Amino acid sequence: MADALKKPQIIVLETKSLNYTPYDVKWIPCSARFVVLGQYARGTGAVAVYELEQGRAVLVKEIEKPHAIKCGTFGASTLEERHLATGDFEGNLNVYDLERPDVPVFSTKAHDLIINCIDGCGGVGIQTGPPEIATGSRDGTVKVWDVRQKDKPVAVISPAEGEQRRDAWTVAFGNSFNNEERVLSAGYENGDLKMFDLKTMSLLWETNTRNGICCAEFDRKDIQMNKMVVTSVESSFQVFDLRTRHPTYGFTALSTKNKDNTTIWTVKHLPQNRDIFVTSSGSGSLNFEGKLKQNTSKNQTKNLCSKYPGNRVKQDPKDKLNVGVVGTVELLNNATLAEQPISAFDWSPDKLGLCVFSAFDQQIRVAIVTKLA
Amino acid sequence: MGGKTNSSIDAALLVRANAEETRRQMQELLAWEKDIKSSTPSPSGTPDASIPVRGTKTAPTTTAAVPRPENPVVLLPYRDKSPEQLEVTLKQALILKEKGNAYFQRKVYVKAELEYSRAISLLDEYISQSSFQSSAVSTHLSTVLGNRAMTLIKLEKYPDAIADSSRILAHFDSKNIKALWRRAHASILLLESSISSNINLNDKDLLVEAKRDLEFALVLDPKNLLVKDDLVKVNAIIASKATTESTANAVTSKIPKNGLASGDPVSQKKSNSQLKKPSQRRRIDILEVGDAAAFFDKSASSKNLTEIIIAETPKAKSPVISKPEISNTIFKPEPAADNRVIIENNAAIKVKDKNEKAVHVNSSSTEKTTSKSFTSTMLKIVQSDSFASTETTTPVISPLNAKEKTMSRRIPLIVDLDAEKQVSKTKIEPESTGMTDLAVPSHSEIVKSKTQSSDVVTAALKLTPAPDTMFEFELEWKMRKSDDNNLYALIKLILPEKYRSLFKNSLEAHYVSKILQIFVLFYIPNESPQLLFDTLVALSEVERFAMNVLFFSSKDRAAVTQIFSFLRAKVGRDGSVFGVEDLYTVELREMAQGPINLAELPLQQLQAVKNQMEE
Repeated sequence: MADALKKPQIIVLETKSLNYTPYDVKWIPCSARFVVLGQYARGTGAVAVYELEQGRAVLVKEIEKPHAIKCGTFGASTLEERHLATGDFEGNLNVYDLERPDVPVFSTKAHDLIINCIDGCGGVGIQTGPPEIATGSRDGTVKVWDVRQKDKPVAVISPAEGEQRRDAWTVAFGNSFNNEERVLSAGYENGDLKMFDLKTMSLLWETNTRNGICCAEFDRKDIQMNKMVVTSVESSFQVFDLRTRHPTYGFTALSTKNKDNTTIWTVKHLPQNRDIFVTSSGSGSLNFEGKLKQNTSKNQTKNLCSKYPGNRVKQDPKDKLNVGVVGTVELLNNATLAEQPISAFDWSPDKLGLCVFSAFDQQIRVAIVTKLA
Repeated sequence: MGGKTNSSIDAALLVRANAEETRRQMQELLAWEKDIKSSTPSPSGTPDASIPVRGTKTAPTTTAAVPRPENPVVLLPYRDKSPEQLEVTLKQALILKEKGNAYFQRKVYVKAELEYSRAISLLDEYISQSSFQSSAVSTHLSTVLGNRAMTLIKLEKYPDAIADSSRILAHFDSKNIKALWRRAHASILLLESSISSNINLNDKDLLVEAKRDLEFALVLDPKNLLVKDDLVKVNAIIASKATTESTANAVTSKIPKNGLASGDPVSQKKSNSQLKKPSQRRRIDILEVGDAAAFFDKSASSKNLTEIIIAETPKAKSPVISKPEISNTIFKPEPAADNRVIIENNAAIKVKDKNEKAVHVNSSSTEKTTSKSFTSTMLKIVQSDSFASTETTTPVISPLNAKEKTMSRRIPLIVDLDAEKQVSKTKIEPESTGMTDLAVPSHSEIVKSKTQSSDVVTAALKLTPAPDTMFEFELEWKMRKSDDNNLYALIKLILPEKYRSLFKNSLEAHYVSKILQIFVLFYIPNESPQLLFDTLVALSEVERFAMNVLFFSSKDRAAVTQIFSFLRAKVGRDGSVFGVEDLYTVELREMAQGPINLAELPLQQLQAVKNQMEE
């Protein structure tokens, strides 16, 4: 009991009901604002900007777009511009300046079907490499765009001839520690996880996790690839150690299964501490996993931290090659905050512990998580 | 037992600790909020702009990329504002405007210009970010622009002054006399200074435009000394530059031969109408043609058309020229006959072709009436008797001869108002009886005006024909209810002598109330006292007006007091003012005590009440 009160607390600051379905929420970097992307009942897109005032979220601007918007990212634009790249249900990739949201700064018909996921790299927070946006769509392709090059994607990753198309459900950039290196991983609905090296334009590694992959995220985009968390459908997620790659076994993974047997929709690493991440589940709960500075006892209920093992590499006995050791993951805290699945979550990059998340009950919640330092 | 209490105490302590933690978190959050909103975030080290697009060799040279500056740019805090912040912006803007005014009066022009510029930028921001268009704010903006223009003239920054005045005339009010004069004045001073310093400007254009502005201003306000002086100056300059004479002459050359009381204002009007192409107001000068009978034969819908001409002209003394645009001509079609209705109006052209529905250029207007209903709302055109007394300040000169009665013809202005078709200048030339050119607005401009802001809408709305029945009046009123400016225009449309006939079933209290407010807000500053007086007289003659007076709210009475004190100040010891004032007031004390003691009412009121009761 005492232990329960020592763990990180989740304080919900504000619950806001919306008249549209939110699909994604993102903090606007370097500000106390966040943007909600979604769909009105009439099928048009909603972009709403809220600002935190005295702990309450105040609507600053609400814009209607012709098509429903599924996902967005600020990752590919600089701090000065803070343009929001959005993917919508028609397959259009639009980059908006939120101060002049009527006309997009960059617009292209990226895919023929809905853009399921989007990620940006090379802008805010990651200063290395060209600014790129990756989009993954139901048509099975993943495309990489550069806003400076119109109409022609930098890279297209599509299934081979004859192979069945699989929906791409998630994309994530990583390993962007210098101007040339970058890795893009894509997760598909059948459990395929493919990692592409954008420097050599080739497939780096692939695996199959048996359950459709809902969300994948590197712990940091701008360091040499270290760890990646992949969440999937049947309440399981896997943590891959990416430092060591075995030619046969690939990357080592630690697989964890939640008890509630629902889809784990998102995973988000805390920007300020890459060892803490949160997963959101279909039962409306958030699980915080990670590592705290002080020693915590093993029996913590449900806040997870990853713990590095003493030795990250060990030798495979058979062929004497290095195999990565992934360590352990601890649950730090867990809280059920909604009755519907929490489909989108975002940490504020400026304030430790401040987060916003949206659920299918058409509500967005702003919360602070304490004791994460 | 001890163990239990211990653990419960511990738990309680922890709960409290957590509560404190929560509070601390909240405080931290609020502090952070304040911090991040006020601070400009340190710009990140901008990525090297020379990183090529992946897969290409060289860095992209397209301008699609926002150029990454070499020096870190100070990042402005997110500029968008919530409605409350916008209100603050508006208040600030108004304060700055007042500051500018104060500086101007103390002749500190440099600072005045600074304050005005700040106010303008705030107002621009407000207008661009507010979700609705407020005419009051637009008025403020145009006023500040005008003030700034004046300040710039004092500072001898003539091109900027011209720019500001042009902006006012283009976007807000193309009849703003002050702006017209300022623009012309600045042009003249610019020319003079350029002559003295031998700079070769585009002086011909400047001169011609200055002259146009001044002439137009003169038409709007014939008594304006500044305008007159400048006009003399301009003419002098022009005389010394002979080449511009011919153009000016060409403009005024076509003077109609008959039917005009005076050629000059008309020609001015005409030139104005031609001049006004750049602005949004379109003026169609139609001058009286000739023989009605001749026309009858020509027009397709001949026989039963009774055509009435209305020229809603102000009383001779009114300086406001906006009246003339209300002139309409309407053919009142028989239902069976060809529904050719031709109205001429300044930007409202209702044309009905046989089978087409009436297309109203006032795009914003809700009068998407079918032809049938349109005829029902047809405006009757008043007898031309009133024209005999009108000044020739009307651009549309109806037949001034008494002979040309209601059958006098107008030139059918057939304008096809489907989306982007060309406006045809039809049939004017053949009428050789001295018709001047019709300055038909090019359609694209009409369409443009459609797409502009509510200011233009306001302008367009002003140009509708005056209501002639209570029904029309109410329709117009409903359309304009939100905007005082529009209501003002509407009320102005109604001739004082028409009040009694228009409101023959008595005027409802809220109308009277609003009309009084309009008087206070607009008539007092803008109109001549005479017009106000006449209107008041006319209003008081409306049926059952005494009843209205009896039921005045305190607000109405305050408005009445204001109006009359203004009038008295203007008119002096004119007894008639007092007489009319009496009609508008009621000694409440007597009323409050039981049933009205008729013996104690002032005589006029008594009479009025008696009359009304007997009806």
